[in-house]
Amino acid sequence: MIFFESNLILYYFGIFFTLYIGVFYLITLFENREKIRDPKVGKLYTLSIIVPAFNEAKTIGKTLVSLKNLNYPQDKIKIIVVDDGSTDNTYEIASRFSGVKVIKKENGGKASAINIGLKEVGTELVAVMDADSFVTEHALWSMVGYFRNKRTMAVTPALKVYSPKGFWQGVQYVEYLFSVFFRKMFSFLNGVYVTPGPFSVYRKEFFDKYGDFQENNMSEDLEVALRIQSHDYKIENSINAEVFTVAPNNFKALLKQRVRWYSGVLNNLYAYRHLFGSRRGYLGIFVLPVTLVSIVLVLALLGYYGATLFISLLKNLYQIRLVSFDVMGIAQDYLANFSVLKYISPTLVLFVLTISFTVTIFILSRIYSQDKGKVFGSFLMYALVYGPIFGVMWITTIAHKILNLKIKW
Amino acid sequence: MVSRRINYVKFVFAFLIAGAIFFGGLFLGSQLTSLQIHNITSIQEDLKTSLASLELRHDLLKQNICGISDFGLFGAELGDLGRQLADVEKGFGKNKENILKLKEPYFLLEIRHFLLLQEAKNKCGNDIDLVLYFYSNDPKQCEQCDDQGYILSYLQDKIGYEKIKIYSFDIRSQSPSVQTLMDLYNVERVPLVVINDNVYNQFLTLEEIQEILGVADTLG
Repeated sequence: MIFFESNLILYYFGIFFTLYIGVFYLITLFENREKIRDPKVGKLYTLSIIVPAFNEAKTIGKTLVSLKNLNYPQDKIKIIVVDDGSTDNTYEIASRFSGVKVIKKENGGKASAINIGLKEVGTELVAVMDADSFVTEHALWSMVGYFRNKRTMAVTPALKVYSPKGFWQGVQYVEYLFSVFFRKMFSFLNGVYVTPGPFSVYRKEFFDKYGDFQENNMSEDLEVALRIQSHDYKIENSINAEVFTVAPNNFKALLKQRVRWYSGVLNNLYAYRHLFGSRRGYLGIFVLPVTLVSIVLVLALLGYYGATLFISLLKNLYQIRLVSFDVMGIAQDYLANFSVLKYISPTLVLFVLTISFTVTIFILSRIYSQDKGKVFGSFLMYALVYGPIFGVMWITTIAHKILNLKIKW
Repeated sequence: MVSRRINYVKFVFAFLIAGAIFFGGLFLGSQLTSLQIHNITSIQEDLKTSLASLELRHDLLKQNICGISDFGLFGAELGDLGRQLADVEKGFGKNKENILKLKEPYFLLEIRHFLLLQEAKNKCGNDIDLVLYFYSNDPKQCEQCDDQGYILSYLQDKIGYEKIKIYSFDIRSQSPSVQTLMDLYNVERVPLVVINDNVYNQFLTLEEIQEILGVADTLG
């Protein structure tokens, strides 16, 4: 006999969808397991690294030190800092570094700062580096070999959270580790759709042919990736090229960041909607549609079951009132009569299976990216709260869109 | 040009594997739940035997029913069974017909135990309160039954099986014995609570029940 609860149809769909995506990506990993290793470096390309900065005095020094320490011939690297009208001493700190060109401009946004830097670039490759991020010594060496393929226009790194402290950074640390895995899988499918700000490396000729970063676009890194895909070039990913970025450490800053990002996702996916469909391979028929369906599904699940759980909690609180708030008595009865058996149901078994899949992907991501961080506590926090946080971020983003609110940096 | 070739077989393959995992999980969960139900059925059989033994001792002792001292123990076991049934109900929906069928033998055990305990109370002067609680898990039939049941469960745990025994009956039961009991106490609307043969045909708060039982001071 199979017990099937009709009021759990949405839950069952969510579980099946998650399992399907997980299995698909694990098959992708299996098919491409020989290609996990980065290709050997052939030619030593010349590279300019543009560091757009606005009030990054706290971190830019460390960023520049990490760039100077790249395990790559220093005579092949040019570093250009573009101070986008900082009001702190970002400019002064950057100017102290020898061999770093520092340009000061009036505040005009990150994309405008990058574009000023692009004008100075005469090298074959150009990287963009956020001023609150740090590369590992071997990152560039891991990435450069991908450019041997002439169709490769960009290579993205394995982006992780720098030295996570506290609840919010811990949750993001786990989130970024999942992204490390998925970005590599996207690259196997020619489906990478974002070149993140911290140390994505591009072929300069792409900007010469197709224009600079869009200055009116809040997610210029997403837009340029979609543009590369649109012109039928490749974006690769190096799972070994570790780059660390400072993540928001409180809810308000995180919400602001994610509203900006997610608005960018909506705007840019709409602008590049021609990328959907089988003509664009796995990008158009799987990666992009799955991204959208995931968002809708999470919101639907949270909405429906979140409301059900909330009503159930209210009912429990009301019933505690019926017994004169004898919480200790209720707790004692609960513990005295506790049995794991009473929670066993098809719903729970499916949930455990899905969590097992998620943990498997997480472990694979850590293995392939050689992650050494202490993650157990962070993973538990992530498992408990990420869904609702994700939902709140998206609901806020959609509210901003509907109410036409201004989105700030 | 970048290769955009799609291997559709991969989609089908992933679907089949995910489907196998999904239905495997559903099947495994169903089997574990069936084990739970089997466990309940097994407990019911054990309790039937224990109750038959209790009744036999009652018949043998006839004049000396007060010599039997383990009514309370049986009451506790019956309570455990009731709790397991409630857990299964929670997992599968209180309104399901197959769950109601599972409770029928339990109701009969309750009635038999109630009759024995009532006789012991009358003949031996046992200071035990006997409560019959009639309810329905159909929210259309009874909106307050969930809350009434919650209060009575709380009281049973708080006061203990030596001092109070609460028997609960779902009025949707098809059992003639349960129907007879309902006729005896004129059960037309629920929740209906019978405390030591006094009928209360309305929702009773914790304080009201405590006052009726005279236990307000001891509970604190």
